[in-house]
Amino acid sequence: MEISPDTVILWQWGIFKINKTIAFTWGIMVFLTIGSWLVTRKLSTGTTLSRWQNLLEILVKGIYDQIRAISRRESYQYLPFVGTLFLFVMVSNLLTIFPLYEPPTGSLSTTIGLALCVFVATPMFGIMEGGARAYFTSYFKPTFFMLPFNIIGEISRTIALAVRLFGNIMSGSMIGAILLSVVPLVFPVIMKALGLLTGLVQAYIFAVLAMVYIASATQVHKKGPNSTKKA
Amino acid sequence: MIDWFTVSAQIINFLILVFLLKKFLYGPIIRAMDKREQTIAGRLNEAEQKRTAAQSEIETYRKKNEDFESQRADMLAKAKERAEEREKELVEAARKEVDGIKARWQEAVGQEKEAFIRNLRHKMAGEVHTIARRVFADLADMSLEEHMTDMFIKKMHALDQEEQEKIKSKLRDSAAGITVATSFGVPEHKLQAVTEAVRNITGSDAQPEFVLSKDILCGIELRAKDYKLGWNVDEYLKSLEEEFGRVLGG
Repeated sequence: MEISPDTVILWQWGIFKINKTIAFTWGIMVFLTIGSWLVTRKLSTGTTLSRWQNLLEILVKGIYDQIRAISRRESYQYLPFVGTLFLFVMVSNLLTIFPLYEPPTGSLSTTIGLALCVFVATPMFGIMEGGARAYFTSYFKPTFFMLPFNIIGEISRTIALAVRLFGNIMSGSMIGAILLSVVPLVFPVIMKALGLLTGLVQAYIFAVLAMVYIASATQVHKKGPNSTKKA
Repeated sequence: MIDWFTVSAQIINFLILVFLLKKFLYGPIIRAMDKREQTIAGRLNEAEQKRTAAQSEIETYRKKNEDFESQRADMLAKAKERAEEREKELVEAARKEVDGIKARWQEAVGQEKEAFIRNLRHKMAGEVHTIARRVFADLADMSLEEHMTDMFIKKMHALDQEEQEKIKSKLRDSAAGITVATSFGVPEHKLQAVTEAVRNITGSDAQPEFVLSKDILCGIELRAKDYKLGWNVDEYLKSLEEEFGRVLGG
């Protein structure tokens, strides 16, 4: 029994290969995209709307409200990035109720990939917001000596982000599999239900943490000039 | 453990997914929501405008109603005034008409009275004349006409100088001759006496013209231009007539 779906290689040519992680990721991508397209191709702007549109509106509005609560600004700027993180992780985790499915989020490669995206996106949004200079000077706050700690903090929180998600999902799958061989009846179902809950919570945590990092990066810059004046 | 190819593949996959969801999910959904919000806001706005319009309409109608009320009151007052005026006019007209009728009636009555009296006078004159004739004829064996002529002659003779002068001057002024008018034919044998009496007064040998006149009820008159000398029953009858008039009028 393999720990990561990366190891199950379906097709390979040179260094290019398609393993279970990539295949299931594509599956999720197709599912999300087709699902969205099916609903949004005939959107209603009137007062009556379809159930699916209603569901998507609630979902998008919910994500947007969370983003707004954290960033404290009315902007759709972060919605695609943070929203996609949440939706991807959530769908990836919830689909574990299907047999034979292995969540891509249970692969360290996927979580590292997502964490790297956040790692890159955070300074990107920060620079877009207040300029490169303002962003990088924030690493010297409150004093010059804090620079290494700031950098370490940046890196460590990215690793934590990746490992937290991976650990939770992987362990959920692992426990399910192990229990299945020890106590085959009833108990694995409970663990699976818990696993679904954990998956949902992890999706929320991942997205919210990403948003918090982005918000802190952008808000530092906003407050930056004021704090320097005070100092 | 970490497969860097898969890591990079997953990063690319994630970025593609971000793009796809932005295109198929967030964009359309947010646009739809915004549009709906705008529509709702627009409708609310429209409703508010309509409400305002309705309010102003109500205000207008209320004002119109008030105007109408006041106008109605005015018109009512005017109509009442006019009706009162008209009533007065009608009453006045009716009174006038009644007065007119009364006046006409009074006039008619007066005329009738007059006609009656005139008639009466004629009749009385006739009667008096007849009675007098009979009395004269029966008692004095003399005709009334004769006696009246005699009296006339006597009267002419009795005229004083002044009167005679007046008659003379009248005759001189006018080209017309002297006329003796009677209600009866002067008896043949008296014609000469009368002529002489006249000539005596006028101092000329003019021949007086003898005429029968219906105007004179009963008597004889000497006429020269606008001068009249006469004697008839009229004088007597006048006082009688007045007496009658008083009795009838009373």
